[in-house]
Amino acid sequence: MTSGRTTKRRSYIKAIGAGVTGIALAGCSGGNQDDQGGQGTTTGMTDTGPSEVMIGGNHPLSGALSRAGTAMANAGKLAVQHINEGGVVPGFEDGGIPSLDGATLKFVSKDNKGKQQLGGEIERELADQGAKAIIGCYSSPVSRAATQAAEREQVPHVVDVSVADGVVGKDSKYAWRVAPNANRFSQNYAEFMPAAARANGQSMKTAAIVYLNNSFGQAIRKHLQNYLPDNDVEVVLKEGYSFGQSSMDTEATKIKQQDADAFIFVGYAGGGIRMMNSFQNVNYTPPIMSGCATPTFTSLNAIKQIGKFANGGFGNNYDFNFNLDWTDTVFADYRETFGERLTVIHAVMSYTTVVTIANAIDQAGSASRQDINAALKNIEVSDHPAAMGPVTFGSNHENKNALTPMLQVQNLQADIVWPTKYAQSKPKFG
Amino acid sequence: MLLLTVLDRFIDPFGRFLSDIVQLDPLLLQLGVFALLLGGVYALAALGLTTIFGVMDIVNFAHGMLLVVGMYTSWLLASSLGVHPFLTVPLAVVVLFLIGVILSVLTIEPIIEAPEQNQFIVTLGISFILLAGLRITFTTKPRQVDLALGELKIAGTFIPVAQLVALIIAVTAIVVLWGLLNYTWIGRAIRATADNRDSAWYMGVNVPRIDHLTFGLGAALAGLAGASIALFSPFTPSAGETYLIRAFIIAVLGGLGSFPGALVGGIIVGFIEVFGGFYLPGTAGDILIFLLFILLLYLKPTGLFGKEVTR
Repeated sequence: MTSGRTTKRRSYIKAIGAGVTGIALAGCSGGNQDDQGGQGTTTGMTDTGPSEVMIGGNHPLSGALSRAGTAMANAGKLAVQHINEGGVVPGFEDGGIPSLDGATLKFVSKDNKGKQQLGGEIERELADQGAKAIIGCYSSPVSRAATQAAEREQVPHVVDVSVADGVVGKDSKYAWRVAPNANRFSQNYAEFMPAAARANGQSMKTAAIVYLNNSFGQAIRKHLQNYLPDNDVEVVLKEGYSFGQSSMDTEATKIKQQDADAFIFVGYAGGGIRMMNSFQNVNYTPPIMSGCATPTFTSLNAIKQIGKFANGGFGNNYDFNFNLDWTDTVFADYRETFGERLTVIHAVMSYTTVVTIANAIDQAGSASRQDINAALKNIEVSDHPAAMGPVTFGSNHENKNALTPMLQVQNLQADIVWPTKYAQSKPKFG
Repeated sequence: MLLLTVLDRFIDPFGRFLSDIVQLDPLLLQLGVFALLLGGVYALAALGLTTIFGVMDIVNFAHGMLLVVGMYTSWLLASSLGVHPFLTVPLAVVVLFLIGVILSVLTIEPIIEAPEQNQFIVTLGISFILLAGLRITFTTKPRQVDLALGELKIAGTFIPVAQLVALIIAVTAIVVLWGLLNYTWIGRAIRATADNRDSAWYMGVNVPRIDHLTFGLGAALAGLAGASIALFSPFTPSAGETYLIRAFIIAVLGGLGSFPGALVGGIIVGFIEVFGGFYLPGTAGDILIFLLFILLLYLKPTGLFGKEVTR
């Protein structure tokens, strides 16, 4: 057993090389497409106009991102259900699109598997099936591919969730984004976290950032480095980590040694949970434990996995406006319709995006893609369930009022604590 | 210019490292403990891979996913059936051994004499099937075994207990495996098969049965590693990738088929990862690991504990 053999070693390394190539190719290749949203619709026409208007959903319904993607597609379906049935979404009390004599919406969801190469393909399929507007896609590279296809197909695509900058821009004609981008996430964090701390007598002069070393993490880190000094916070440490890293003990040791006023984590849930485990391994709790654009302190599942140590942690993310009386209806109906609690926060953006499109259709008084797109340009939607101002798009096609309020884990629940307009409870320090 | 920039980024941290050594900074002890614990986990992850290759000449690309199946087995037993997390470790070993034997009979035996590309396609295929199956069954939500063991504090150094348990399991597994191979009839049969399959046949060893046993043993070791890692680290269905890559490096570094090599290789990688991660910027520690890997292939291609034997 202990005899290494030349031939064996060569074949081993050869096989590793071939295998790694295989894995890479497999990662790049597409597969069968799951159609989990029905076969779409041909828009029915009456004498006065369409009786049904199709909205497409381009989300990851299978693969690594499927949990979020499925919840987002479900939220889109629920928004359509509420608009069609009436009585929930302000402006659509009577059911259907008022200016189209009560024409109903139909939501057709298709699976992009979270793969960039499928983003454009699914977009074209939805357009071919008659979608008058499309929402999606969660993963930024997929959204990029989808919005490019939307431009070619001349179908409005409203990005519900995708953080990366540049998914929409000045050159966009048919692509819009409701959700905050990386820049807005960082800007809001840099403004809200120090403000909340100082308003409660907590110092926040220095910050240490641990970020996921990919394009998403690097973008957030870069913006934080730009915005934090504007709010009198010096970044004293910035430390990247790899996706799937086995342990974060080294990073925790560095953060403990630095002992900055605030610790800021940027990454996915798995990394966040691991980071918190490692803080416990080195017996350290940062004075302000927080995250930017991470589910670590905003997702109930992540909080549950971390346990009591998560209490007191801050994170900024888009969320529902719990001060609205119809937000409870959204949660209750989601549970009733899909048989599970609504715990994926991205759903708020998908729901809001469908409501925005419904408003654009109503304002256009037409189911023409061009008319809907023109209406989006000047839309202002105040009645939506998200904790942010009216949805209205700037010249760069980004939502001018996109917002990521600060949440804090209190008794293992994530409550909005800042800004006070949307706050469910007061922030607690120390 | 680029080279100078890169060198500059490495020289300054190296100077700080030397300075900490000269000053006997207690931080070094803390980092050393973390490195040892991480190295133990990596060694455990590499053990099954090196066993299967040593005997069967098969590079098992499904090893990482078998490790993840071990994690989910442990988590499922603990969270659904209320089994104590420590007891889930041997149970995961048994479950993975059975899975390994079944996989060997159904998928490996038919291609054992086939060209190596067939083997890698089959094991890669098994890996993808397991990944898809886990994603469908358990979703991509991060999971974690509910076990808070805390940490020991010795001479100002923190030792996470769950990781310490994983290290003890790794060392025990290596000793037991070494004993099994050297002091039992089955062990001798396995070694005979590893040395020369044809000769083993002629000497009355049932080689296919030894293959199934070895693949089962390799899978059981993956299960042991997975269940041990689940004691202290969250995981998702895609968690196996990192461990698989590390296990490949460690297996080559330590010498293919060598158990002490797996342990020493794991600890070397653990030390580079922890100290590199601490002193070097960002994820630059990974560069050191792969540099060492390439360097070793040039200087000692058989690995640290491997011996040159030609057939």
